[in-house]
Amino acid sequence: MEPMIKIENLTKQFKDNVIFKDVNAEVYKGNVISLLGPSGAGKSTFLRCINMLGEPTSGKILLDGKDLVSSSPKELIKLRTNIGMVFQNFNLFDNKTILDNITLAPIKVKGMGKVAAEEKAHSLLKMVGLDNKSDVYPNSLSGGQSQRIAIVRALAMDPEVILFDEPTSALDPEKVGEVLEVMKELAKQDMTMIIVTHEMEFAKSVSDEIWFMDDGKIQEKQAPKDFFENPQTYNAKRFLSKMI
Amino acid sequence: MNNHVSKKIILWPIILLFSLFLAIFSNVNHVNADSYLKDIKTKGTLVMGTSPDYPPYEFLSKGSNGSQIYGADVELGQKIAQDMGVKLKVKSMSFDSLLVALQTHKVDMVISGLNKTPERAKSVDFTNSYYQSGTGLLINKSDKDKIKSYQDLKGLSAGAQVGSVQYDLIKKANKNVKVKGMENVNDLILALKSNKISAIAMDSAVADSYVSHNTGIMKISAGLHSADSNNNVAFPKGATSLVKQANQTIKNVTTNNLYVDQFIPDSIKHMSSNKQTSTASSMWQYKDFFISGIKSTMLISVVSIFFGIILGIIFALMRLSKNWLLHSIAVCYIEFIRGTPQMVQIMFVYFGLGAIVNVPALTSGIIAISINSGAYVAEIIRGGITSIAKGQSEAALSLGLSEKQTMRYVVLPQAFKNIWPALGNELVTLIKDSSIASVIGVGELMYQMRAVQADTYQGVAPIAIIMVIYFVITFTISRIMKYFEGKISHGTND
Repeated sequence: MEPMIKIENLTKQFKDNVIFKDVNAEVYKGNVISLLGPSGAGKSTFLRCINMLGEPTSGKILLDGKDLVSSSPKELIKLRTNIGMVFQNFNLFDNKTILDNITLAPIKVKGMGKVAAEEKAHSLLKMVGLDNKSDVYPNSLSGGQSQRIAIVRALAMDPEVILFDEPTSALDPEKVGEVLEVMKELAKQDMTMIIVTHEMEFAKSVSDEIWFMDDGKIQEKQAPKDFFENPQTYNAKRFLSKMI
Repeated sequence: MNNHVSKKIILWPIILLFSLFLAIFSNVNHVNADSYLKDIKTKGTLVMGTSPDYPPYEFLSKGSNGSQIYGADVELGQKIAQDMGVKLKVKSMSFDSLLVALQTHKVDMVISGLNKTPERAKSVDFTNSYYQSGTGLLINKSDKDKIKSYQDLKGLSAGAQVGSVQYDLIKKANKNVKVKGMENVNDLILALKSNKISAIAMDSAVADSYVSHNTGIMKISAGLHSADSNNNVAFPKGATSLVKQANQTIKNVTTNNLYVDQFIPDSIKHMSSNKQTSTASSMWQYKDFFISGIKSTMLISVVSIFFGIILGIIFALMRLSKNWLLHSIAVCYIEFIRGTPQMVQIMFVYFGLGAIVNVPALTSGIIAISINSGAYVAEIIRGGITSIAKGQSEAALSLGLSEKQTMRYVVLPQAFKNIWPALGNELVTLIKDSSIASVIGVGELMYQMRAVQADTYQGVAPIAIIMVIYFVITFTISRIMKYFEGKISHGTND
């Protein structure tokens, strides 16, 4: 089977400062990947390169065989609709109601009818238990609610893969659970996901594979059980010892 | 770093290009000698420029359709046009714009109590003299024992119209006089009455008509002698055919003494008679002036803010663009416009651009004010856009929206909400600054105030009235903006 996402020799540097260098990785359909590593290891930068929000210095990112790095702006827009993203700070559109937040891209990018888009939005909102919030503005929501809406917004585009950039880091501790709950549900439905997170228990229980990033490289790619019980590198050992 | 240097280097050609553009403008005075008369005959109209604040030579008064320009000079112009077999059209503008207008072919001829001087003769051609005027001094009656001639002005200040012969005369005649130049005779009269200046040097006949309409001031003989006090008609440099033709008319006028016996008395009939009635009632008679002023002011403001916002959006986006050429153009535009006076810009559009294509004064005013406002609005919008958190546009891009769609649906609506109060301020500023368009003769409030001043010989009342009008307009606008501000932010922030 061909991988859905293939990353080849991906390098990112700001002038002389190398963030990561020659990273190679593959993601298969339905896989849940947790990207772990110490702060400043370049995890978020790496994740943002996958949908080209951050431009890599060199290398390739192939989605179903098509390279995002060398694609034209038009092609890039098309490829991006297949890659959802959930941000640390939710980034819901402040000027739009929840419903409009969710239906904006399906209507404007995919050309979906308004009625169909709204129907879909409502059913997704029901799934996360927030259908009663469809007409309010983002500023009246709690962090946990906002993040669940942000996930729904990404889902509304029917992406092939969703990137999560520390989705629970900005939340109050008691709100973390409700967001992880939704993500677990997605994993169960075989959604392909790449998650940058510091929630070790969650990563352990939900992931198919752990990528451990440090010193500008992915140091280890392991099944969760192997990674947590038997890390191979010194960096990973040190990281895990600090986390527990 | 390399990139940075090359950007700077390539900025220079843009500046050079701009200078070239300016140079082209200044060279449009093509000397195409004697097609002038023929051209005017084909056109069927002779356009005369004049500064109508100089009764009895030229002044504004209430005519059949609003304010109209009358005066002995206009009658002379009429005669010249008649002899050419064409119609006369009279254009009003400030005195010091007249010769520029002639050079840039905004007008075909200037008759405005103009005296021939060697300096002026360098840039325009003069006809023979049609009238010999003297210079008089206007003083307050209370000073009549103190000031008997120009020699008594030692250490005092005297006023004169900017660009007039009297201005130079008084300056040369008495080195100890502080000469205050003003554009408008009515302002000078006001200054005299309020003791800001002790005397005004002006044309004798003009002085007479102001004395007859103002109590408290009187004319004395200035005691100045000058060969310059011949009034002449001016034509563009090289328009010999026009000068010849006009000289024939003038010869006819001077031999029959038409100017003194017919033109001046005729004009005085048009001069307003309501000089000493009460302020309130006399101002009420001029309501049509003010109403038409309000209309023009609002038209200029609304159209200019509309185009200003469009230009503002375009240039703000260009300035934020990663394309350095677009960025540089926007920076040049914004910095240049913000670094030059609006009055100069208006005159440049009217006279400079007008030399290539004929743009009416109102349109010129709107163009100049829109361009000016565009630069300020661009900076407001740029500030608004950069104030929107980066995450907003990242989220939109991650959903597959294009850069354009991201701007349109996510960033700009939020930016506009943030900058709404600043845009309101800009609109209010624009309404106030539209008064500058009066320099090129646009009939907005300021201009109409001048007209009412000239017609009623009342200096202060019209000023007070337009002040109130401006305030009512701007206050209403800022209230409306506030109301909508509340509407936009409903449900979103706070």
